[in-house]
Amino acid sequence: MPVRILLPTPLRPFAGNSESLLLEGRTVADLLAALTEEYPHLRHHLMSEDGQVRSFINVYVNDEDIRFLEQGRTRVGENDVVSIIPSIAGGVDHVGFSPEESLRYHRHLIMPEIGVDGQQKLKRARVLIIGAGGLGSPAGLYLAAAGVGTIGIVDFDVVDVTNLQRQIIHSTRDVGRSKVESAKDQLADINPHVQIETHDVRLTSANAFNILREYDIIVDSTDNFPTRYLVNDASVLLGKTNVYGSIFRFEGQATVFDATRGPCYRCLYPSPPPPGLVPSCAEAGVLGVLPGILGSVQALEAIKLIVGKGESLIGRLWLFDALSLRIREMKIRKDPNCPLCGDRPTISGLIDYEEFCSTSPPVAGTVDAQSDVTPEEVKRRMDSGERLFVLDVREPHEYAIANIGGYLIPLGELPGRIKELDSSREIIVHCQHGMRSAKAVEILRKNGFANARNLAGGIDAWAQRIDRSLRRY
Amino acid sequence: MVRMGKEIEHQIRYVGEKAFPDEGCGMILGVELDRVQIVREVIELQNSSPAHRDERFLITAQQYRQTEIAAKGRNLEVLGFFHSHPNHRPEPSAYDLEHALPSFVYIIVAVIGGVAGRMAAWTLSENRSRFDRTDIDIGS
Repeated sequence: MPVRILLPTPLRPFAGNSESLLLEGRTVADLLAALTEEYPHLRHHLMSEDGQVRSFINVYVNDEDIRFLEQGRTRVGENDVVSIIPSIAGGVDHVGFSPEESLRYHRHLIMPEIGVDGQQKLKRARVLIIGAGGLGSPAGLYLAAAGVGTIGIVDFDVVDVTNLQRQIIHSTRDVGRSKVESAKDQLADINPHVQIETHDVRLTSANAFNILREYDIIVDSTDNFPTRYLVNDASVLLGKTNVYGSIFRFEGQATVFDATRGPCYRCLYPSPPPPGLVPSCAEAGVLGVLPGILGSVQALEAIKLIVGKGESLIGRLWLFDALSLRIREMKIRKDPNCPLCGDRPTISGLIDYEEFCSTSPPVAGTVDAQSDVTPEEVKRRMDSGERLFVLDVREPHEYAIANIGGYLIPLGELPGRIKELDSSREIIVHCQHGMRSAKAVEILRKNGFANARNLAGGIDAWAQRIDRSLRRY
Repeated sequence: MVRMGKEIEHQIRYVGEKAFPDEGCGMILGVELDRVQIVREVIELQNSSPAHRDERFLITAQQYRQTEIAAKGRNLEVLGFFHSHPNHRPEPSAYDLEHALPSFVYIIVAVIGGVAGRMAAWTLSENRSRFDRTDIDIGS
C-alpha cells in the first residue's frame, strides 16, 4: 500500500517539484530507499556517503520523530503521513590543536581570559600586516608567537643595513633580501603552525581591495601618509578593522579604527600635512626601540580584538613619549561630516593618494618650484668655473656619510647661525632629499636672503644623477 | 540574487546584535520571481544549540515546522535562513557546508564587538562541494 510522504521546500526541486508523494514501503527505511531510487538526485542531500541519513534530516511519522520510535525500522501504513523536516544548523569550525600546539600555547590555554576558545579564535584569524619594518617587525613576531592562524605581510622593499637598528624581524644575513621573504622565514621559525602569505608589492589603489579583502584585521605598520590614507579608505570601504600605529622620533601613537563603531583615520586627520613638513625616519631619525613598543601594542590590540577581551583602543588615541615614559590618551570621535565614514559619505572608491598628499596647501611662505635648482644646473655652473656657495643643512653624521663639500649648518641650528652667511650672495641649499632644505630656504628668505635656492632632490638626487661614487643612505 | 528592503536588512542586523556574543538566527520568508529571491519577512528564531551558542546555532525541526506553517498562512515560502557570526567574517564554514540544504539562501551577518557589519548570502552548490556567493540587493 502506498504511503504519503511530504517533502520540505528545498528538496522538492529534486523530486519533480512535488510537495507530496505516494511511495510503497512497510518501514521508513523502505520509503527512503524507494524515494532515492525514484529520485536519485535526492540521495546525497538525504544521506551522507556511508548511507546514513544526515543529522539535519528529520523524519516524522505523523507527529513523532522516528528517533523516538524505531528509527528506520518504524512501520508505516496507508493512513500514516511521513514528513521529512530539516533542522538548520551551522557555526564555526572547531579547529583542533596538535599535542605540540597544546604545549606551545599552554601559557595561553591556562588563562581563563583566553583558554581553548580564545586560542581557537586566534587560529581561525587572518591578520594582514602592511609594512615589514619598524612597526611590522614586532607586530609580526608577537602575532606569530600567539598562534594567529594566517598572517599576511605586504612590503615591496629589500632589507638595508640601516633597517637593522630597529626592524628586528630582519637579521644581518638578510641584508639585500626581500623584506617579506626575510620576515616569512623568521615567523615560520618562531611558529611553523602559522600560514604566512607574502605580498611582495607596493600597496596601491589598484591592488588594495584585492589584498585586504582576504583578511579580518589590518595592521597598519606603514611609514608614509599616502599609504596611511589608502589603508584607511580601503579598510573602511571593506568593513575591516584597522589597527594603527605610528612613530616620530621619540613619540608614538596607536589606536584602532573601526568605522562601524568609531572614527576612521580621516576623522582624526581630515587632510594630510603639507608635503615636506613631516620628515621620514631617514630624515628625522627614530629611537630604534620605539617602534618595538608601538608595534607590540598593535599586536596586543589585534589579539584583544580576536579573542574579544579587554577594552580596545577604538575611539582612543594612545600617546606614548619615550623620553619621559609618559602615556596620555585622547578621545577621538567619529566626525559626522567625514567624507568616508560620516553621515553623508562622498567617498565610495579609492583615489590617487600621492596626489591627495602632494596637493595639500603648502605652509605659508614655502618656496615654489621656480626657486628650485636642479643638480644638473648646479653641476653645469660648477664645471664652467663659477664659484657657488653651497649650504648643507643636514646633520653631521649625514655629512660624514657623503657630502658635496657644502658649508654645514644643521637645519635646527640655522636660525641661530644665520649671521655666518652672506645675504648678498646666492646660496644653494641642500639636504638629503630636498625637504629640509626647502624649509631652510624659507627661513633664509624671511631673514632677507633673497637669493636662497633649493637643490631639488637633495644630495640623494646628486648621488643618483651626477656623482654615483657618493654613498646613498 | 536576493532582494530585500532596508527594514529587512535592519532586522537581520538587529537580531545579530541582540544575540551577541551568541549566534542569532532566523527564517527568511518571501517569494521567488524570475530567479530572484524576494524577501518579504524575516522571523527571529531561538538558537536551540544545546551548547556553544557563541559558535553554533540550531533551528530544530519543530521550530522549522511551526514557522513554516505560519508562513504558509501568509502565502509566503521559506526562502532560507540567516544567522550571525560573532566576531567573525560572514563566510560559511565546513560545518555550515556539511549541514546545508540545497535551494535555500543562507545569509550570514558578521557582528563585530556587538555591532553588525558585513552581510553575505550563500547557496549550496549542486554537488554539495561548496557554497556559491549570491548578491544581495538592498532596496529603499
